[in-house]
Amino acid sequence: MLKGTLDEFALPDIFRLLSRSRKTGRLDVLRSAGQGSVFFRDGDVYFAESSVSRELLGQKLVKARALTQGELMRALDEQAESGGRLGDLLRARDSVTAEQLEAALREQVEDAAFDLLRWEMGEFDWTLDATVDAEVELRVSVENLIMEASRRLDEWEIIKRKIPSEDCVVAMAPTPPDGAAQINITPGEWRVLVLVNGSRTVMEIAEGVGGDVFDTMRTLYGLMAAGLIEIPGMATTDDDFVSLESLVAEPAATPGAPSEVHEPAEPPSFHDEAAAAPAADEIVIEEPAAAEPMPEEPLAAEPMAVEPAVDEQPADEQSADEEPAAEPVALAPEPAPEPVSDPVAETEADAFVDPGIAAETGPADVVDDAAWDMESETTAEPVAAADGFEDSDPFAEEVLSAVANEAPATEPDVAVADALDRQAAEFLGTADEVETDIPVSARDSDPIADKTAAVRELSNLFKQSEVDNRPTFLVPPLEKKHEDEEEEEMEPEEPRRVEDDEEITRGLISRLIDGVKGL
Amino acid sequence: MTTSRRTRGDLIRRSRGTATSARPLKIVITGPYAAGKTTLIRTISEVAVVATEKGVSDDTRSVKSQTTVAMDFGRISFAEDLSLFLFGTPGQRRFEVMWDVLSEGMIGFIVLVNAADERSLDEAAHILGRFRRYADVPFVIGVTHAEDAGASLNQIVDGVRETLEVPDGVEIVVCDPRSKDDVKALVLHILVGVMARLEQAAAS
Repeated sequence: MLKGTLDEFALPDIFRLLSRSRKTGRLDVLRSAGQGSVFFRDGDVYFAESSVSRELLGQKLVKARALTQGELMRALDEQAESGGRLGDLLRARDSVTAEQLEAALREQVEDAAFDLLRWEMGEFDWTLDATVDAEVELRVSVENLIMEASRRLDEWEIIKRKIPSEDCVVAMAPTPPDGAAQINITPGEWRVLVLVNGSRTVMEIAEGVGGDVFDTMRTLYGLMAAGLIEIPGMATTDDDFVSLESLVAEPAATPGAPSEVHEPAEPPSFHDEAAAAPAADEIVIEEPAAAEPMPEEPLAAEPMAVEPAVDEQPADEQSADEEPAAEPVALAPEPAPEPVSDPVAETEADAFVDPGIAAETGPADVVDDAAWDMESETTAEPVAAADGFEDSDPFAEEVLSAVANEAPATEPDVAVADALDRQAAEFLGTADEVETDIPVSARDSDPIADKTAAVRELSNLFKQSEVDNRPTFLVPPLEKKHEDEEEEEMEPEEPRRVEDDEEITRGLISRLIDGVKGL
Repeated sequence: MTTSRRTRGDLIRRSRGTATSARPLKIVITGPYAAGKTTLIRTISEVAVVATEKGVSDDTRSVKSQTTVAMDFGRISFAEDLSLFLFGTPGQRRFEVMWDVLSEGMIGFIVLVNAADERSLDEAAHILGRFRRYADVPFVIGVTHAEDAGASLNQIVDGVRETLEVPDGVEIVVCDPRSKDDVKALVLHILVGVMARLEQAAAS
């Protein structure tokens, strides 16, 4: 059994190890504050869940404009009556396309993986061959997950400078930002803003809007940078905020027709539909304005705006399948139509399915909103973990053979090599070009054997100094080796030289130099 | 038998060998957190950088899975058959398992270091050491935020060279990753370095 603690082995390393060995099974990660599971099939992730990040599938689809709030509510009603999975229901009703559903599920996987990958403390436990029946056959590469988690962590670090923890209480700024004549906010920001009352924590606000904590903190950061909210007792200046142009929402695009959604008449509460459901793309608050105070106390003391002019581009005019714009807008809070939390669905969804239970006893469709309810109908047929992994795991034998450099090339070696090739080809967009027949003799004479990569990776992952902390399946065979042998075999190979690459020619480089000069 | 024990670099060479277009070449942009890697790529790339869901409009989030790659990635196309790819690496050491993957096939790399952040220098030293082990290719050090470092440029450059143990022949360039000219200069350092090596190899 592969198990250990995250302070001994970083989760990205474990992910990569499982990916490279094309493992199928479930990786459980547990810590005191939460738990999660990641399911691998042939080295790719196809499902992940976390008890921390749980933006529901329906909300994601609404936010993505794949679904209207009304359609979601009807589907949830039907689901309550007939059971089944929300995604399946929506597909059967033709409410969403398969691509939209897959995108939402993929985002859920990324959310969960991000939660887990940022944990530095906790325990992991690998169960070989455990499976879960997912709605959509996803294949998310570990590399993409890690890179996405890395990018989010970069943002997280920036956000934490201003919002140090999820337990911070945020309040409305008592005065509007200096010199602000007009304040533009998006529906997503509005949904968060109306829950800011000087007593709720970031976590409570995230729960209130039904989004994940990261998204909520990102929105709060934008609002804080815009001077609309603050953390009481924490002084900030504009200079404290990093990359405002990319982190803070850009002014919304085009003011449109008045929205059918209006400012809530009363201060909203959690799951208050009126509070949580503005369907505008952008809400513009102008100052000076009429005399109706904003719902929260700080603004009531100094009325900044009244009846915010609501600019909207109706959601149904937005094509969900529209081609994406090329411009990246990092960290921009989403101007999305409003997903309204359904109190019933939310309540049902509050039951986090123990990943161990999910995989081992049946209920496994935890992606689905209703499937968070333990009693939801599921079709999961998890496969029991194989015992004896520590005794006869082929990958362990394979990599250990590679480390020992004792065995000739075997088919598993080739499989690992092809996986590496595929990754490289994918990175360079040449995946379709990679099929080539190489005679065995040529392979054997290849000066840079694939074992090198395995040795290099293992030497980094499982250093001799960490021998006692290695996953147990790796320990016994390595301990049989003499130290001097291992040091000799761990000797790094000569790094590849660029001048040895036959396809890099002076003519090619010369053209590139001219090209760059001409930019 | 269609399987092989090709290396990744070998594979790329071979697969491109039959193609009519030239192989796109890759430069890796690495460095510690907040050194300016993404900004650098964004400055010079013709395609969306950090092409995640945050890189597309919200109207199109639903097609995210079809459009995104979760990494800093940029491309400069000079002709139909001539492109230069820029790959950014994660800055956090806990994700260094990805450095190896991203460095495969690179013709050179740029290490960005934030001169105003002492931790950035230490991290950059670690990163440089790792990347020099991945491949023997030209590299250049780009020093950002020099204006915030509270020292003269010479002092900054000397300090970086000492901390990172940069060989004398390797350039250390004070730069602003938002400046296209500065980024061009860094890329040109790599390309000129590759050219010099090719000429040296040809002469020998």
